[in-house]
Formats: sequence, C-alpha cells, structure tokens
Amino acid sequence: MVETSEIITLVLGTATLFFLCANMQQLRKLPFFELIFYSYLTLVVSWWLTVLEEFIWSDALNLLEHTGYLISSSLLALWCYKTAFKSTEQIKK
Amino acid sequence: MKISVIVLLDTLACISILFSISILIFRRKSILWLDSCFLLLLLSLAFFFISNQLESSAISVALDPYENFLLPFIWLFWFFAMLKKIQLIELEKAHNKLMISEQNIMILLQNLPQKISLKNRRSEYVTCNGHFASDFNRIPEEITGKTDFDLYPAEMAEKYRKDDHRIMTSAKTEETDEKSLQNGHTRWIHTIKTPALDETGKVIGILGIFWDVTEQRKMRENLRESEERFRKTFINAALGISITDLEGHIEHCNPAYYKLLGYTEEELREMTISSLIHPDDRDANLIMDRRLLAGEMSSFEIENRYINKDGHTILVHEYKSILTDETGIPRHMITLLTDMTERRNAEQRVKTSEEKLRLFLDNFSGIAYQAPLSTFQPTLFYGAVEKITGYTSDVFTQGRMAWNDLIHPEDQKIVYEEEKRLHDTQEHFADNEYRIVTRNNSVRWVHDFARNVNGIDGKPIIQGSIFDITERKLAEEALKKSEERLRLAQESAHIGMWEYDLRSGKANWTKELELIHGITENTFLDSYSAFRERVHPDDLEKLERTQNEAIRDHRTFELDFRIITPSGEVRWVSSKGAALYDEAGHPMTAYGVSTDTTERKKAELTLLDSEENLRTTLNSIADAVIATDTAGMITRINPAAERLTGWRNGQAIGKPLTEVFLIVNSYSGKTVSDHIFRVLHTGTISSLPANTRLISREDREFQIADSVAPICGMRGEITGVVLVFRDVTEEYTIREALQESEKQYRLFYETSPFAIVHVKSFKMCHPNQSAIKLYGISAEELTNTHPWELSPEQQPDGSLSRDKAIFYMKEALAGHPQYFEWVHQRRDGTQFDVEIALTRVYLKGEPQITATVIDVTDRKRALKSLKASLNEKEILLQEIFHRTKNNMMVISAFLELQAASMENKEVDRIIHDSVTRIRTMSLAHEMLYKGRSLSRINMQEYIKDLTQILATGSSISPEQVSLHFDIEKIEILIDIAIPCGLIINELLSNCFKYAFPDQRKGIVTIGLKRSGEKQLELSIKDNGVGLPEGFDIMQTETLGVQLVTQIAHHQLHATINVLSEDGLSWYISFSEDLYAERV
Repeated sequence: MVETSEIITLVLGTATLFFLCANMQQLRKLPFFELIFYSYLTLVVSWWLTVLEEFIWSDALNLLEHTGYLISSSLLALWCYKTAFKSTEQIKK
Repeated sequence: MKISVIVLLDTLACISILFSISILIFRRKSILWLDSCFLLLLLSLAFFFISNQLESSAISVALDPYENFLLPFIWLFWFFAMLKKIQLIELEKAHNKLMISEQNIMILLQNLPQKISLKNRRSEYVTCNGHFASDFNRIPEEITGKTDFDLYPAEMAEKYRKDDHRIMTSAKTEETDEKSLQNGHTRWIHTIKTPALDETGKVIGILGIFWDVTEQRKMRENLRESEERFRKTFINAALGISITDLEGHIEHCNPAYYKLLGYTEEELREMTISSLIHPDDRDANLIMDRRLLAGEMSSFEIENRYINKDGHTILVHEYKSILTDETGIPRHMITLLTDMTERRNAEQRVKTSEEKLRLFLDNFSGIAYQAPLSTFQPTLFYGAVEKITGYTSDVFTQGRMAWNDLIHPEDQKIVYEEEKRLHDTQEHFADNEYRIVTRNNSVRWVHDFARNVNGIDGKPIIQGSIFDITERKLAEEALKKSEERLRLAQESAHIGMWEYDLRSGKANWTKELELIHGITENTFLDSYSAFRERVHPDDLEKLERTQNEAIRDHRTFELDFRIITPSGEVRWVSSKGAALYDEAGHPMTAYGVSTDTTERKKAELTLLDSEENLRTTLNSIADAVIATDTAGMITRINPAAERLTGWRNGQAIGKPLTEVFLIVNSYSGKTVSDHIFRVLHTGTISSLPANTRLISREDREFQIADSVAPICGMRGEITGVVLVFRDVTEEYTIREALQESEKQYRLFYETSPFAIVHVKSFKMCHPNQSAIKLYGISAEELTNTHPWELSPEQQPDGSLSRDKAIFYMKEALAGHPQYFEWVHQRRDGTQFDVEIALTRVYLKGEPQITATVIDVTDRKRALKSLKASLNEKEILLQEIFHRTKNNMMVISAFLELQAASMENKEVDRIIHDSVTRIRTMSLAHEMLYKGRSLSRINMQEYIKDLTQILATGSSISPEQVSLHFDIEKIEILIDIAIPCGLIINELLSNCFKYAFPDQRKGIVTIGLKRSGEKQLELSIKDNGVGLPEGFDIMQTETLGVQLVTQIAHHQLHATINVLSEDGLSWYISFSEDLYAERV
C-alpha cells in the first residue's frame, strides 16, 4: 500500500526537480554541476520507483530504488571529493 | 537474500555519505556551497539511517511522518541557497565592473580640458569635473547639490534655469556661445547642453560641456573686422587692384581693375596678368616679376601698356609686390594699376596744342583793318582775309558786306558794347574775342585787337588786327577738359599736387593734398613753413636733405616720410618732385605729387614684423627646420639645421634637399628620403622611419627623429614641405643600452639557479623557470597564488604559515629586507625547506616584493647528518679521554700498591713522585672530557685542582702555608697544559719539601697571566727560606729541577728566570701558539 508520505515526497521531490530545471542556467555555474544534477535526478527516480513498487514488480523495483540511492550518494560523494581536492582557481573557473 | 542485498546497497550508500562527510570535515574550503553541502549530507545521512536502517526502531516510528518530506525540502533549500549565492556573486562582479567603469569615466572627466557638469531635473549639480569647479575656487564635491543660484548672479542663474527647463522639455541638445562668470570675470564660453537620458529615454537631467572661447571670439572678431576693412578698401579703391598667384593667374580683382580692362571679373579669373600686358612690355615685366620672386626686391613700379578687351592699349602705372604667408613663403602677388592713358593723352593734347599754337603763331597771317570810329566798319583789310573768312577783302572794302555781318549773332552784342565803350570812353585799346561765321558758314573764333588812333586826317580812327584764334580756342577747350580730367584722376587716386615758390616760400596745394594732410582750406597757411610744421620731426631732416640735394643736382626726388595731421594722427606720405629753374639755372619753383601710403606702410611694417618674428622663432627653436619648394629645393634653413647638416644658410638655399639632408637607415645604410617627397603628393604629415641617421656635410652622423609636413597655400595647394627634426643620438644610445641591459637582466632572471618570483598584493607573479621547477606547477597556476597556499598549514615553529608569511611580506613592503627559512609544500604534498630573501622593489611606482627562494633541503639534510656525526665523534673522544684518565689512575694505583710493599723510603718517594706526575696528567684528561672543549683546558680550574691534590699529598697543612692564586681566565691546549701541570707539580713539590722547614709559616703564590701578545708567564713564588748563598739551582742535578728545565725548554720552548729574594720565585715565559688545535 502506498504511503501518503511517499506520495508527498514524490510530489515535493519532482517540484524541486522542476525548480532545478527552471534555474538550470544559473545553477550550471556551480562546480561539477552535472554530478549534483544526476545525483538528484537519480534520487527522484528512486522516489518514483518507491511509489511504483507498490503496484508492480515490487521486489525488482525496490532493488532498483536502493540501487538508485547508492548511485545518488556515490555521485554526491564524488562531487564532494572533486570540489574539495581541486584548486580554488579551478572551482572559480 | 534480497533484503541483504538492499541492506548492502544502503550500507554502501551510507559509506559514501560518510566518505563525503569526512572529506568536508578534513578538507574543508571556505566555499559556501561546500558548507551548505555539509548540512545537506548530514541530513541525507539522517534520512538514510532513519528510513532504511532503523525501520523497526522507535526513532524510525517517531520520525516516520516526516522522514520523507525532509530530503526534498533540504535539496530545495540548498538549490535555492546556491541560486541566491550565485546571483549575489554575479551581482558583486557586475558591481565591481561598474565601479571600475565609473572610476575610469571620472578620471576621464576630471582630465578633460572642457568644463563638464551634470544637473538633475531640479537643476541641482549632481557632479562636475575639476575644471568646472575651479572656476568657483572649489572642489567638485563642494559643487554637488548646489544650484546656479548658489554659483552665479541671480539674473544669470535665472537664465540658466530657463535654459535647463527648455532643454529638458524639448529633449534636444543646444549649442551656443554665451557670457559666463568665471572667477569674477565675464568670459565667453561655448556651451553644449545635452539632455541626460536614462535607459528608458526619459530625461533625468542636463549634461553641460563648456569651454572658454573668449580669446577665439576676440580673434575671430578682430579677424572679421580686419577682413571687412580690407575688403572694403579693396572693393572701393580707385586704383585697380588684383591678387594673383605666383604664376600670374588672377584670383581676385576689384571693380576698378576690371572696369579699367573692360573684362568681367569672371573673365579675368581665367586670365593671367601676362596675357593682358602688351607683347612689347611682357619681357620687361617678366624680368621684374622674377626678381621680385627671387627676393631681390620687395616691390617694383613700372609703366606698362595693357590691352583691354576692346583691343585698345592702355598705359598704366603698375605697382607690384609679394604677399607671403605666416612663414614668409611667397604666396601671392598684388598688382596696383593706375590708368595713365588719360593723363598721357591730355599731356599729348597739350603738347599738340602748343605745337599748333606755335605753328599758328609762326605762320599767322592775320587781318589788319582800319575803320572810322564813328561806324566801326572796317574799310581797309589786309592779310589773310580770305583764309579766315572765306571772302576776299574786296567784298568788305567795296561795301558789299560789312564786317559786323560776319560776327556771330551771339557775340554781336558783346562786340557792340566793346565798340561803344571804345567810342564813348575814348580809350586807346580794345581787345575782344568773338566768333564769326565764314563764307562756308563755319564758325571761327577771332581775336580782335583794336587801337584808337588818329588817322592821317587827324580824325580818330580804329586800327586793329584780327587773328583767327579758332584753333587756340579749341585747344584751350581741350586743355580745360584735360585739366578737369586730371583733377578727377588725382582725386580718385588720392594723389595730391603741390608747388612751392622757392623764392617766396609760397605754396599751392591741391585739395587732395590737403585731405591727405588732414587740413582744410581754412587751416592751411599756404607756405612752405606751414608744410614743414606738418612733417614728423624724425623725418624732417631727411626730407629737406633729399629735397635740397635733388634741386641742387637738377634731378627729381622721391621720398617716403611721415606727417602729423592736426588731429595728431601720423600718416605716411610718398612724395615725388622736381624743380623748375630760370635761365641762369637758379631754382624757382618746386613741384610734385604726394600720395597717402599709410596703409601700405602699415602693411609693409606688419609684414616685416611678421617676417622678423618668424625668422627669430625659427632661429631660436632647438629643433632643426628645413623648408623646400615643390621641386625639393631648399628655401629656408634655421641655425639648428645648419649645425646638424653642416650646411650654412647661404650654401643650402636653392640646393636640392637630398644633397643637404642626407639620411640613411642606421642598420641597412640605405637612403630613406623617399617619404619626404611622398608628402608632396599625399599632402599628409609623415614621420621618419625609426633608426634614421643623418650624415652631415663633414661626415658626422646623428641619429635623428623628424616629421615632414606639407606647406599649403591659401587655397590648400601644396607649395613645398617643411622638415622638423632633432638630434636624438643620446636618446638612441640610452635606449639601445637600456634594451641591452634589459636583455641581460632578463637572461639572468630566466637562467638564475634560484627561484625568483614577484609578490604583488600578497600574490605571486612572474615566476622564473627555477621557481616553476621548484614549486612543480605551471606559471599560470603559480600566478595569483598566495605563498601560504603552497605551504603547510603550520611552519616548524608552530606558527600559522598564512600569518607568518603576511608578517614577513608586510615587513619587506615597509622597506625592511627579510631573510628567513621556510617550509613549502607542493601540490602533491611533498614538503621542502627553503631560504627566502624578500626585498622591496618599486615597479611603475607601486611597491612590490621580489622573493628569492633557495631550496636548502639537501643542505639541511647534510647539516643534520654532519651534526649527528660530530656528536658521535665528541662522545668517542670524551670516551678516549675518560679511558686514558682511568688507565692512568689504574697505573698510579698499581704503583702505590707496589710502593706500599717496599720498605725502601727512597723507592717509596720515587714512586710517590711518579704517581703524583701521573695524576697531574690524568687530571688534565679528566678536565678535558668533563669540560666544554675537547682540546683546551681551563687553567684556572686545572691549577687550583692540581694544587689542591699536591697540597693534600704533602705534609704541609693549610694553616702553615697558605696558597694564593693570581691566574687569569685562560684556556690553553692540552699539549701546553700538561707540561705546565708537570712543571707546577715539580716546583710545588720542592716548595712544600724545602721552603718551609721547621713548621715555618709562609705563602705560596701561583700565577698565570698574559705577558704579551700570545705570550704567557707562569710564576710560582714563595716567601720561604730561599736558596742558600751561592747556590745555582740551574746547575743542580736533581730530577725535579731537571724535569722542569727539560719540559720548559723542549716542550714549551720557554725561558726560565729564578729569583731568590725573600724566598724563591720561578718565572717561566712561553708562547701559547706552540701547537695547532687538533679538535
């Protein structure tokens, strides 16, 4: 059974994704923005899978959902690493 | 299985997050998005742990309603925060750019020569530049917020306010000249007021740009007045005036000129002067023109025949001169024509008339008549009656016709009245002229001279003679007309005539001359003395001398002199004259003509002044100047150019420029004169190529810089070129030396084995190759990097690298050079020791730091190794000394043990002495390993310890013999210290044994002091019994004394003095430099 909180999370997450896309032009100026963007996108996909798993292929989609979490967190870690170990000049560029 | 996979995935995700957190904690950078990210990741972690790992826990249950909301919110919050931050950074960048742009604009405005102000819609000054504010003796900031009413008089401010309102309403730029108040003075300013618009096109104020045009306006006004004056003079002149170019093409002519020649002005502009001159006169005129152009004369006068449009020849008096431009170059010729035809014709007619009259008189055949007084009807006629009247004399004598019938009806009355008067008054003479009508009905004039005489019969009769004066009458008529024309010509040409009776001093002047002198008929005194008073005092003597000499020599004179009019005005007059002489050759009358030449003189003087100023300026300027004509021939050369070219003015004028001004390229040696002649074609200003060398006439060479400009005539045509050049040899040499020096310094900089970087605003820049190699990054990466970014966070002394680096750099910038050691860290984390020298340098007036960085890693490593090695050796040496001392002590202990088993006292004494000597030496070794130095012994301590050992070992108690020390603080090598110790041992042992027998009390003094440079003196004195009388201690054969002398002589190379007064005193002097230091 689908949890209300999951639906709300999905709605909020998707809205945030829209916000992100709407301000892409500005936010692109963040260093290694692609990593952040794909990290969040993967997270939103996982939330979608959380809801979908209640209807079909619950086990497979659940596995995909958690795989998505792993990818998302890995991309985030990679972003942290790159921003932390690159020189200030590179970041400013 | 599936759950465990999911748990594994979540666990890996948690590890990733933990990894991220650890990066952020240990490798944080002060960047906002990383800080924010840290928060985000912590919360993300919370999410994972709460939602996936602790699903069954109480915390998970408690947070269940919120756990999933949190993460999207955090992401949204973080994206939003980042967005705002990026906008803020961009806003800041834009603001900075705007500030820089504004600063640049302000600098530009402040430095513009114009006065610039900006007002808002309320006509308050928003800003202005320094030039504007300086008019009010204020600074721009003081003007801001003020209105025109605060700065200008109320009336002027009100006008400005209205102007502002009008411009802001119409939104159109206005440009005008107007009066303004500057520093209390009214000045003319040129004003451009422009509505200031915002980006929407709305008027937000007024931008005013002003500059002072008072001087330009005055000059323009003067120029206009001058031009007007000359134009009117030109147009209204009675003389024909034309202005031509140097080839004679007519450019301008006045009405008198073209009327004289019968052409229109437009037709004349297509002609040359030469084409108007009679062919026979052209050559003479051409010669004069050439002389004029060659500068042989400033003007000339000539009488030429011109041919007018109708083909008639006109005799003219021609005055021609040159017009030059500001530089003195001839540009135009001006020609003044006076029509001499009428005057010549009149003269000719007078002459003809006179000749006719003479001929008439020579061939006159008049009519002689006789008539009775009562009738006046001639009855006798003689002479050329028929010739005069056309009738034969018979007609009158026979009464067929009366004489009075011939008289012209208009003259009959006059004749009748004259006859009546002769009859009534009985006068003797009647002289009458009247006309008669001849037979062919022609009218002739006759002169009737009648005489009242008595006839043969005694009756009064009239005898007379009649002459035909028709020709004379006609001549008189013509003369009268001619004189009238002459008078008119004089009036129109402003030529006055004068005549002086040299005997009476009476003078006759024409009206024109009176006008020239500014006098009226009423004020003229008609005498030479009156004229004399009018002459300028400075010119009077010259005038009279010239006049008198000319009269004396029977020639004409011509003179320019000044006169003073009654109003005080000084005028120039040109006068020509001659004298008439009586038969004896005595002058009777002087006559002549005068013309007012004031304007011409002024023009000539102005021209002369202008020429003089130009010449002085050219001769005074430091730059060399050469001018040429269009053919490249030199027309002018100033002294500076003479010096550089080696050609004198007189030699260079007329020479080709390429001969005098020989320039070549410094490197190729090829001539580079082409561009000069190119200017003649292009008409544009040109400069010499760089590295141009001038070769003078004496083969001296100068490096020069120059510019070539065309000389343009009044109509813009190129009439030559002017070269301005100067000697830049010294500058060139300095520049070459500078370039060479710069190359050397650059080479040194680039090839220096030391790393050298500049530090500007605490950031590194301009690294050399060694610096790039040392820091292991590219020059681009190194540039703008703070020194502490290439250093560990802390230096070895614990201070923060950033703070310490800033301290050193500030000290260096304050002018205190800094030398210190530093630890740097490359990007890969490797650290290396360097020595850094910071010195302040000024580049473009800005203080910067030059940092010389020397990698001392290897040296430090070697030093450390060396120190360790030295420590090891010191310890080893100390150990050797220690072992030596121990061995000696063991030996002495063995000897003492052996002595204890001996019963022989002498052997016991000998062994005891030997033990004492061994201890003396071992004490020295003990002091070495205990002391600071491994080669030198502190003698103060050594002698005291040794004395103490000897005193203890002897039978002398401290109460009996007291020991005194006079020892300086001296450290000497062990090679000297041990012999010294042995000597002290022997001498003190003897002293204790023999100096104080029978419990005698005394004092022993041991001394060691410096007695000279590198000289030491050891002294041992006692106040004991001393030596017996006649005892020579140096001759004794005791072992102790022998040891002392042997050691002193062979080991110390010492001198020994022994004194036996109040005891015994030993003085042993030796050098402390006997042995070299070994450790």
